[in-house]
Amino acid sequence: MKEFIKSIFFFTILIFLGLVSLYGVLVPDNVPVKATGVVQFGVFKTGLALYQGDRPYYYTFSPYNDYFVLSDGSRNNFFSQEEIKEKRFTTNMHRSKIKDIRSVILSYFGLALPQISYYGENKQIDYFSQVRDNKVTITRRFKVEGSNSPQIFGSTLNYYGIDFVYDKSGNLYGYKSEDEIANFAKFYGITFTAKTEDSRTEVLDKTIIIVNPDVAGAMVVKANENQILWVNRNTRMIEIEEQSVPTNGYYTTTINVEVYENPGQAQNNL
Amino acid sequence: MISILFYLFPILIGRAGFRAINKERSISYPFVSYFVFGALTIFGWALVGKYVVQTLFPGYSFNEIFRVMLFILGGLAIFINTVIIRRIDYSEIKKHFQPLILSIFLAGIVYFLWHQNSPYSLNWDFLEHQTLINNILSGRYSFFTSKITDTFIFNGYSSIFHTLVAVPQIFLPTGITDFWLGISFIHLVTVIFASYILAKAVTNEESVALLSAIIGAFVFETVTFTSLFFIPQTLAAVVFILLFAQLIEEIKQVRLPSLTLLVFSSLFLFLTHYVVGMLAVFIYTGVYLYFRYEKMIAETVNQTVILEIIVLIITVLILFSSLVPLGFLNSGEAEFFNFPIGEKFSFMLRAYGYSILLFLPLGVVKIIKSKEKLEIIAMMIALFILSLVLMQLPYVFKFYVLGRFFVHLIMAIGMVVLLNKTTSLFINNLLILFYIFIYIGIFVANSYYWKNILNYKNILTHISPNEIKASEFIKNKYSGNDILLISDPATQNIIETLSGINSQGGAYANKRTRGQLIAISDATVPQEIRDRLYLINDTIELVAGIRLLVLSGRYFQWQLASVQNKNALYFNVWTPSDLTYNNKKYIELLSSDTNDFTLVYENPSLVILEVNN
Repeated sequence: MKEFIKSIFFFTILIFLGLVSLYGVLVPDNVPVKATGVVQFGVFKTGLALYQGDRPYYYTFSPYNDYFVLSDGSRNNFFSQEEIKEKRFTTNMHRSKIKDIRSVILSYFGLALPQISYYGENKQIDYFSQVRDNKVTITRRFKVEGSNSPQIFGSTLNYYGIDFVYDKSGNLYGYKSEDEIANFAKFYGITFTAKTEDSRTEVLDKTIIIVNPDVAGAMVVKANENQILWVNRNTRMIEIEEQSVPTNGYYTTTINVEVYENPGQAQNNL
Repeated sequence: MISILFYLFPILIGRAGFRAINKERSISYPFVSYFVFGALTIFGWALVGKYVVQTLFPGYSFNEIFRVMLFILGGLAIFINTVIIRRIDYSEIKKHFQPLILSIFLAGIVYFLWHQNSPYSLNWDFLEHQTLINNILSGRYSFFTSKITDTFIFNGYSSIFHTLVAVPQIFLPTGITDFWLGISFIHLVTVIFASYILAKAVTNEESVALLSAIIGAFVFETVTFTSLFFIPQTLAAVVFILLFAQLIEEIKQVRLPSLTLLVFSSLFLFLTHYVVGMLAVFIYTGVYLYFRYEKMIAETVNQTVILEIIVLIITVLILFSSLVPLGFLNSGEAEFFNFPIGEKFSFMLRAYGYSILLFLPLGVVKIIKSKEKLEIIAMMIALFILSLVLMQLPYVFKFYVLGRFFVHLIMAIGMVVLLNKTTSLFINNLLILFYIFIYIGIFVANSYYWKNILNYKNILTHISPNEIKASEFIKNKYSGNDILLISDPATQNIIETLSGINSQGGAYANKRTRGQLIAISDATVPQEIRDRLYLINDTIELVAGIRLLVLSGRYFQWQLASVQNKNALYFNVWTPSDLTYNNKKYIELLSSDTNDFTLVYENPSLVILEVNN
């Protein structure tokens, strides 16, 4: 009996030391990362983002930019500038080393998907994702405590001033020189008509294509039937608005993005 | 599978010739001596081919001469082995069968995990080594690596490693990427096998050997790359460990290997890697001499004083080594690889988690208490190399390629101290299985950390399928022509290796080439770019023919880097990259000037332009 107890004791010690050994490994900051066609899709403190290797461009789905519209028509960001500055919210990133290690191991086998949750003073925002080959679906859940219920929810994706932002009809939302437009037509067979009358324009065919001249590939944002797609040139955002009713206290919205190797391939798949 | 010839051919030759140098007696682990002797014979044979036979018959190229000599050597070896020696020592094979199967099993797990989403070798260095081998295969040969190709700017080793790797490729030409995948797996098996053999020789305990093999399999140090990368320093390390285990076995039988064997073994280690080999020879001969003159040393020298002096010297070196200025060395590479202690600690955590901090001290305490001589020697070697590694001097981290085997042995001893407290065999086996899973977890997290930046279109890689296709195009169209390939260092490294077409320096392009490439990024007139490309040339054999300019996604990313980085040998664009819209605009600028450039190939990752002379 004494031997048995001794064995169990050292068995426990060795199990404990083994787990401590594993606990010591280092994990990278942005885990998990999922390859999505020619870009990567990862989690950052500011939200979920599409990016490519070391290139300094991040296309982000973020509560810093997402918004809701109240019944009085006022537009509010999920987190105000004050809340962001004063860091009056927390996230579930790197909260638990054990979860980070689990996430790294699952991610290594392609079994983890980027996800992040934000916890504000009276709200919780979760971003979940589904990735299938070159297609990403981001689902955002929003829970708020308070009397004034939001009516419309806006999901956003930022873009850069240098980007070509256009719809499938060839309307180009932004200024580009004639040479650039001619080059684009020559390389990819896509001709543009400038559409720069309004700073915020509704995209009627519910599809927008973003091509960064310094990033390989093209991103296509597709709105559902119940969604309205806007290009906001003031804020350099693609905005997708939809109405949502809460289920179990959560307002749920989605945004779909497809990634292609080049604008020509994107055009063929519209 | 032809990769295995790298080991088998020298062993076959070594076995045939071994009797001549070691007539009087048998030796433990003879296969390692066969390999060493065979490898030196092949290398010597190649040098004779180059410096004697080719001088006598200048009409023949080195590769033709070497091929014939190898067939003669191989034929002789087969004849001696099958007709004269005949006897095969099955007891020797049987003795190693179990550890060999264990090593293959563990290596299989590690390789499966390592190559998740990584179809090609992740050993960046294999490219430059294969470039040198390509040169050997096409008839250029020397004792000095830097005289074979300008990819090697520093003679850190002789060409013995490359001569041996060239042998299977001479007998049976094969795909380069497949060859390196194969030989890396076999190398991993040998690393695990060596870990087991060393631990078994020192402790005589199966459980220590098993745990040492498990640790050795799953620990991947991301600076020395011992287990997964087959390069000169890692080959030297494995051979050293097997020789050391052989020495220990001989000591246990109260005898020593012959002086001839000692010389041959030392020569092999030194020629394979001058720096790592020198330390290996120092340790190997040190232990050899200690046991040869054990009594005399015990009578005349106060060993404690010597030990104290060594500890004092190492402490001083660790404390003051950081003050040595190194920025001038090797384009900043020496300084770049001179990691501060904090960073070394991070590397350690990545490779081991906390296991090294838990089990190494436990092992040290156990050894000090038990006072087993062989264990004490192993511990002193482990601590000596760890001390060297902690010094802030360039490249000292490389010494861990030798040290890791001893460190793992001490860790395994520490683990077995606790394991032996559990009396149930079932519980012991369960714990060993549990530790395999723990080390798998550590290995996966470590691999994720290392491979994460290599993300390219759903695979983790240094090389893209588009680069392989482009290399095949170049090989088919330009093989045998006097042509110089030009691109950024990383693209040069990959395409030169896979196509066999020469570039200036590959990944190690010299300052002059880098200067021209930097100047090209500022040039706006195609003619100026063309003229500058013709100022780039090989430093060993001048190329008079046309230049092939490869404009890849990597090239453009490299051009975006700072001038300091572009001039640095440590900086490369490690991940494949496709062409962007702006890259295409630049390509259009050049290809539209048909007087100076002709577009001959394009895919999403790169274009190839012939630069008109």
